[in-house]
Amino acid sequence: MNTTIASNISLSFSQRLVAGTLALMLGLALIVGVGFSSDMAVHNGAHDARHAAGLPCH
Amino acid sequence: MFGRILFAAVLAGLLAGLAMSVVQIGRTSALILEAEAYEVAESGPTGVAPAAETGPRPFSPAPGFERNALTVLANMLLGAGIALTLAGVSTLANMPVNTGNGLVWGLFGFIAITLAPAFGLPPELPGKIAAELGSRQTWWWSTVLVTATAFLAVARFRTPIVLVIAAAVVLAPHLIGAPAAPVVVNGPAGPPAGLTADFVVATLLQMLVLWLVIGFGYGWLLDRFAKKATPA
Repeated sequence: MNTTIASNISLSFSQRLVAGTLALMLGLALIVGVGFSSDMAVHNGAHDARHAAGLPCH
Repeated sequence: MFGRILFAAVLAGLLAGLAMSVVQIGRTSALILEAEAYEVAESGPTGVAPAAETGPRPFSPAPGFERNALTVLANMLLGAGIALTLAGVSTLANMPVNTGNGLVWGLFGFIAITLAPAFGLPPELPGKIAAELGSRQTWWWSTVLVTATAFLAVARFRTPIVLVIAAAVVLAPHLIGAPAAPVVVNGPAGPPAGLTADFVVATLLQMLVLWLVIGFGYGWLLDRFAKKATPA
């Protein structure tokens, strides 16, 4: 029914709300976990990635 | 349908992290190692020493393969995180990413999330003297949040008044100013300026790679999944 190229997702408002919120929460959790966690083991493992991403690290 | 969004974002993000790792392993990581050599020469053991050294030492990867493997893994997870965040924002704002506009999403993501905070807080080599961590993280998150919101507002509404407000909002964190590094009179000088310049260029390049692959990859995958689901 849709002919525009922009319509690769056709979701209702509530579906968008759930899917978007879920993606956003998961994404932010990953960013905070990898990039900002103060746990020293995580810090040391992700150290070079954090510096390369320009995140305020230590 | 949910699955498509999440799967496309995770796949694009992991691939982008892998692509960015080519630049990191080939260039950026070598510069980090070089900076650490200065750090050791100036102040003893590498990295930040935890305040209390009494407990068991926290995990630290062995130099070489283990350290690089973890860097690639962290890059891929960070890529997935950024791609999922982009997918979430685009879905909530009802502004779909597709093959045609994916690179534009990636470019503006790079400007908002990488370049804007880097203008006030340039990517740091280990050993760089900087302001207190908490204040820098607060400035980083605030800058990222207001810049990305301003860009989205302009893309969504495209009116002169929104443009003017967005420009003011984008400039605000820089007018307020990032937390300044303390002036060190008689302490470690930090990594040499030339090394820092090389490092900043390398990190910005690898983050640009990450963003462009995320933007294009996510849009392309969504289009592909949509085509498969509804064969014309």
